[in-house]
Amino acid sequence: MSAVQIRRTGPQLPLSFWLGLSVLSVLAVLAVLAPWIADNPNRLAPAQRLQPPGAGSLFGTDAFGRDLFARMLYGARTSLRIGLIVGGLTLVMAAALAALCVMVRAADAVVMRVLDGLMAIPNILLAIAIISVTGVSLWTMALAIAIPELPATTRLLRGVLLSTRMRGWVEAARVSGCPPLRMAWRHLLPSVWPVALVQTAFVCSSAILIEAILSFLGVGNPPNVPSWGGVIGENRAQFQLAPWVILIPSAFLTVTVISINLMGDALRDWLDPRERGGT
Amino acid sequence: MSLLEVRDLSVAFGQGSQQVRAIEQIGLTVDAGEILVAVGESGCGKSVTALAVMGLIDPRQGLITGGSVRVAGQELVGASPSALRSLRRGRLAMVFQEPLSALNPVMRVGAQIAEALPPETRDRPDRAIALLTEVGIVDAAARSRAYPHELSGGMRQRVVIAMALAQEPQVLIADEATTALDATVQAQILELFLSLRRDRGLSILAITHDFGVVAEIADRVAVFYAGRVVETAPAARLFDAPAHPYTRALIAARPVPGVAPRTLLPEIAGVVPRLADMPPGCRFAPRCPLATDLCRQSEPLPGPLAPGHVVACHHPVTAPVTAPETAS
Repeated sequence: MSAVQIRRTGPQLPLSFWLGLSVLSVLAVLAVLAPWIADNPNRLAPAQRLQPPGAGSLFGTDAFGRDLFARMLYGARTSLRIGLIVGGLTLVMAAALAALCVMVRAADAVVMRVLDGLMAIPNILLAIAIISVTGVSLWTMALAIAIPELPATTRLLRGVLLSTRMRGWVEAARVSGCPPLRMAWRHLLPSVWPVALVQTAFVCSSAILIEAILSFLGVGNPPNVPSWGGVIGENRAQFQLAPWVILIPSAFLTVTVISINLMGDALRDWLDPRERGGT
Repeated sequence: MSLLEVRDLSVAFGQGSQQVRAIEQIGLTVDAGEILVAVGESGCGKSVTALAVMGLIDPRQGLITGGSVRVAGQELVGASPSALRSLRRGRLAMVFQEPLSALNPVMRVGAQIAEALPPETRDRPDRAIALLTEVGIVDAAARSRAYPHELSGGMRQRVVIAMALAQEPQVLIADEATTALDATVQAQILELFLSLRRDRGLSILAITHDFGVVAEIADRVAVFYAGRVVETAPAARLFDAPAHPYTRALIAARPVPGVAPRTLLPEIAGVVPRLADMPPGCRFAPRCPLATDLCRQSEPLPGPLAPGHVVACHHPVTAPVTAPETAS
């Protein structure tokens, strides 16, 4: 006897997701290949300063004659790294805190009040304060950007956990003696990960922006570590003379952040069952 | 000794002056192989009783303020969560009201049933399929690979029942297990309960507000009103000779076939008193046609009227019901 045939169909991921993904993939490949396809981003060439794009190098040169193309590709390494590390760090810390809040009632009150306190301090200010204490390195910067992201992400995950815990199937599993780890893995996680994934995407794009702001202000990466925000900051006095030194890194930042947000939005719609029913 | 014995069980929600007593001094017994139906209107404490028996009262919201719940002689009230888990195993299982929410939407139903099997079980997928067959699902092997949304309401309820049976319970608690289903499927599920009782010797505590369910499956009936059990009697006797005025009014308010269309059904005047604001005497006194000053001052205690027939009323009615009471 033939089994019941059940076809599973659903809408495909929208075009915007693939658009964002391809832009990011190209950028990631360029960033990885930077040592082979670009010059040393720190080589000073005062004679060639403020060259317009096209002539000697693809994007021209900055006020010190450094090749902008090279600085963009090495800057992409900085930005993408920060985005990934902050995203991962925030997710892990927020998930741990949220789980703690849901499981231990006493911890809930303490953790949530501390996070409320963090929320009252502007992101950039808090990040600057943390960096000034720890000194600059990739990891301290990631941490300094991740900590201000914690309140919102923890709050979100805690809310999802709290509401999922009240669902009928969780109660049914509890009554039938489901052990805690299995409960977390089989019954809670499937409801939490879509939210976590989408939130992480937005944390990534926000982290890239904050890194750019910190470097622009001069509290982020030192000048020998190329960063898009840093390039904008170093050359801001030349904007009227040579607008491309500002416009090009700005375009890189904008396109990257928009690509990540496009992916995040697309994933959110795609993962939301309510958005699926209509088609 | 009864298999499930609930004695003087009280549950309160909220704290301090906000505290309301949802159920008070509930007494119920279910013998081996017996089907006891708890019946009453919304908010009268049936579901709270079921949750308290299962140990599912959320400690953030409410607590068991007194009484005892014994299953096969084992006390459940006051047990720690882990002790409760092992006490429930093999003794108590619950069928939830809304099958779609009681099933994990991202797990295949076979896996969910397998998960509820005792830890030492071998051949779990096969056991799950056997259980699905037992609850009347055709082509169980294929269906066990389906997700909950791919099944009909009746099939989902059968899956939920299979999940409960996987725990090899002696007592099954079914809280409004047929309410979310349409009438024909309801009848099939009730039929399933009867066959489970016959084949497995299962005891069932069923909770409903539907006298149709009572008539269909009950051996004995406990009538709830405002957080109390007001009358307990064998099913046949309850329909023939209800002694509590509330039970009589409830039975009279049923729609009966043959009544001329567009006639008003008899109704019980007034409303159920609010939990926070209970009358001092009998809780039904404000709505009771037979109430006297005694009823308004002191609360009647449950007392035996006949073998197996207990009623909490100062003036129990002894006359049998003759014809369906019609509206005046």
